[in-house]
Amino acid sequence: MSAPKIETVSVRENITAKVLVKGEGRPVVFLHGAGGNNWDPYMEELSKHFKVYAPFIPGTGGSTGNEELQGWWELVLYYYELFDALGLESVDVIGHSFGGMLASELASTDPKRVKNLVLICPAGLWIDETPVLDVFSYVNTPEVLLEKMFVDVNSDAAKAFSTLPEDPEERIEAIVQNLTSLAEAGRYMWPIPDKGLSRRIHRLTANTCIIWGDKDAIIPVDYAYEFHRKIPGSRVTIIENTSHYPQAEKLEDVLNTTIDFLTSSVVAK
Amino acid sequence: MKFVYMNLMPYRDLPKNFEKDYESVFISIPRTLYDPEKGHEMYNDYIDQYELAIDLGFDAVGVNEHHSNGYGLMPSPNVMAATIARKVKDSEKACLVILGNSLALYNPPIRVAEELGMLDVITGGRLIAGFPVGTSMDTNYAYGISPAELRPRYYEAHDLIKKAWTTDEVFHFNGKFNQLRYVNVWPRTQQSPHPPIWIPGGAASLETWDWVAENDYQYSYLSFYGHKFAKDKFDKFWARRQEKGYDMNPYKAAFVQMICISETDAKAQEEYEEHINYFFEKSFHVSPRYAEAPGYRSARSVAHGMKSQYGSEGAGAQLRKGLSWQQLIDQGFIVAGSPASVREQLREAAKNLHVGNIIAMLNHGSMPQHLALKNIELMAKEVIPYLRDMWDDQWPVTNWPEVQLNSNNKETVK
Repeated sequence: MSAPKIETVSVRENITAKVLVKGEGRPVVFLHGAGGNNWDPYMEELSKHFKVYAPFIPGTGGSTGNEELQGWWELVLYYYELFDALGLESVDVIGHSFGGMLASELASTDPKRVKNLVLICPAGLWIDETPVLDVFSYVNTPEVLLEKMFVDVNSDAAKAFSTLPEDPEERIEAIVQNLTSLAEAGRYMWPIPDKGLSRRIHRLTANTCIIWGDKDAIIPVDYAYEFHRKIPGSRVTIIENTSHYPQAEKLEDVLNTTIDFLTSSVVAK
Repeated sequence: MKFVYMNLMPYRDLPKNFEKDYESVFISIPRTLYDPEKGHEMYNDYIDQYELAIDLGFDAVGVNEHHSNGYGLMPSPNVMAATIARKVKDSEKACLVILGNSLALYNPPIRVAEELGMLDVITGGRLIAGFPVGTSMDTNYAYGISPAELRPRYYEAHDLIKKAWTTDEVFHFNGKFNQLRYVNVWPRTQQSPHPPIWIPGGAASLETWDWVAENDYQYSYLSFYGHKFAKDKFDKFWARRQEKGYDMNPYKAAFVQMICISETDAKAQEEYEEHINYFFEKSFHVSPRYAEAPGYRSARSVAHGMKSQYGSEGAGAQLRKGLSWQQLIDQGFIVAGSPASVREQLREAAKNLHVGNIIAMLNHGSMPQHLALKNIELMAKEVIPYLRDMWDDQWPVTNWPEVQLNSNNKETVK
């Protein structure tokens, strides 16, 4: 798997975005989770079918703007401007976890910017009876976090996720990237990742596919049905025996679901 | 040399196996473990301790702020400060240190300017205002401030409070986190332009130290590891001041020390060991879940292996694991023994750290009231008088209310 290109995009005079780009053809935006923008096999496989744009959230991966943008609303506007800069007027968006929260918001605030929407265990809604896990509080105990993220901690996917580079400097860099990303996502998720999406989600018009691990220990699968209820006409695919990173634990299933949805929904429109 | 009597106000009756049976002393400690009837006695005992310390001539008494915490029961330091403010006023020259208010947690932050203004006026200008950032547990977890916003909120609150204390006209404040159309803090502080400001903190960065120096504040290093662990921090602190061209006045810094005094060295161990163990075992039992939220400190300092002082299996627990009483003394976690031993250890510590303020912790963990009172009394009568003059022939007292200044001040001021 060859590395994606890192594109530097000037979004505003004082804000620069870094975007991982790979592939040809139809554009798809991938919005990463709180842990960071890690080019994984799912994204690699997607790039064989689409032109994948994976922007880093501001303040991570060399992108700036984390101090300038104030709050969730300004982050949403920033992403529209980034789409403009990339020439993406109306685009398909995939969001994972925090990225799913962001993708849902982008599709709700200005529905015409998002054509087809894939939500992989997104944050953004809140059910008092089944609260989203406070994932930040598990960062100091990586082995516990790993158990929450994966059904099988001994799987290759879990190992790929938890293995740090051997080179000491690369290792420090990886930890810094991860902590920075958590802090920057935390800016918008803290202390409860509900910033009012439920009051705006009725505006969403994108074709929507919701993908969830049946054993998600971070955002329980109940939320799959909550999203489904709030997005009429959406489809839900539950990936068995996976937790919060189904595209790593069951790559093929999630990939096929994604590709089927994105290719068929175009026909549908 | 100045001495501040400080009591964390621990819950002194946690279950024997607390650290095995419960997740954490901070954030998730079950509320049902708190017995308000015992709590009533504890609060009043602790207030008695403060009052005794004032009567016996400590230079100041200090209160602090913790939330959802079994070893620190002052969620509102200002309430406790108010409780002892009149005693401070009636004393010869005791002062009141708030160590302090975690500024990002006050909404709007002018609440701090107001309440500290009240306390300064009630005490007759005897207040010292401490402005800590606060621990990750207190700020991120108990009070829900996002780690990324904690420091920006802290600095903005600081600027607002400082401006409210130094501006005579009504002004507006259009901040990133606070918008106030009319800022006009009544009462004015008695001290002019405002009470001395201390910045209490754990592992501070060079940037923090520079900011402290630029503002002419005092830096209070707060840790439970004692004077030897602090050595390296203070070496860097003083080196930085020198590098930046600031003076080396020891009154620009304070450190916290746990102290146990009895008639003899042997008796000190006999009387205090169990309570010191209670303190270390239970107060360091902070679940790594809450020990430090991602973003509380810069990612780079975390990645380079700088440990937080909290966390059950974090630095604190690792450092003291398996240490005997004598090792705790030798490694400086505690200063303990007969008055003569304590004098010697403290003098050595203050000299090594080049520090003019000792924040003396004398009530530890499960200690019974009579022992705490004895510890305070021995400190006041058998230790403090012998160390009091330590820096006064060389340095003016700074960052204290006027009542505590020394002859060097009088020469320099007039």
